[in-house]
Amino acid sequence: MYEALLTALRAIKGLKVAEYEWRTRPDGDFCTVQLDFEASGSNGDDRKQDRAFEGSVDLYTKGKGMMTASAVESALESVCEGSWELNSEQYEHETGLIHREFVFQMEAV
Amino acid sequence: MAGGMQTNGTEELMRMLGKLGDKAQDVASGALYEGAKVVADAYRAAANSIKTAPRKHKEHGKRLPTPAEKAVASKLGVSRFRKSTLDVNTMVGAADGYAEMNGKQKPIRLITRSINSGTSFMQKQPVFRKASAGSQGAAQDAMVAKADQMINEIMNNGG
Repeated sequence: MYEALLTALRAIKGLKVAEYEWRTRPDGDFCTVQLDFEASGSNGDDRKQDRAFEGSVDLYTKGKGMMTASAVESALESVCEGSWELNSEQYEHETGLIHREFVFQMEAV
Repeated sequence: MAGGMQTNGTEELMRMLGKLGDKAQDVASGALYEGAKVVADAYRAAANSIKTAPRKHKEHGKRLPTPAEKAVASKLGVSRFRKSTLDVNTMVGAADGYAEMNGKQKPIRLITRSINSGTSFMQKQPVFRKASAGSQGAAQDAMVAKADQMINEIMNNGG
């Protein structure tokens, strides 16, 4: 599912996608994707069962970036179905970028 | 409910239930207090685990929070318990208000959020999101245990 999300995000036009970090800040709209931690799970038959991973997509846009944001939302909707939310939206005074943080949960990596 | 109770007839039961209704808000507040304690502990532990570095230091092109920023983010805030006829609620998290940083007054929650969510120039450390996800179950258990204990007390000894 994680790979599917990466593929869906990479298909968005005009958006640069990286896992975890950018070594240098790119021009234009860019985002990072990462799995942050294991949110929940249970044990059964001496095995880990029903693991849920929580991750986030950090989208940085120059300007309002409404189109890019809604494209990211559709990508999340198609891969994670209902289990995502827009956690925060922040304006960075120093760089003039708008930072949206989408938090999602998925079953398997 | 553990413990159980003994009654003589319907009248007695009605009296007990009436008493319980009067004390419902106290039970809710007591339970909420226990839950808030668990969340506050998780928050403190999360704040302690923030990785810091001097401002000039960079990892993968991004800087880490400075020790001063960590100190600001470690300020824990618990709001007053708000009681209404429907519910009791509180907030545990970053403190409200401002803190001085490099000679400027900055909102504490702005600093905390920039550490939790990261920025285009600072690394993301979602410690608080992890703390809230991880402490949810423990907080619920603590609240249920406290409410059970208080209800038992009211039913058996009249509170």
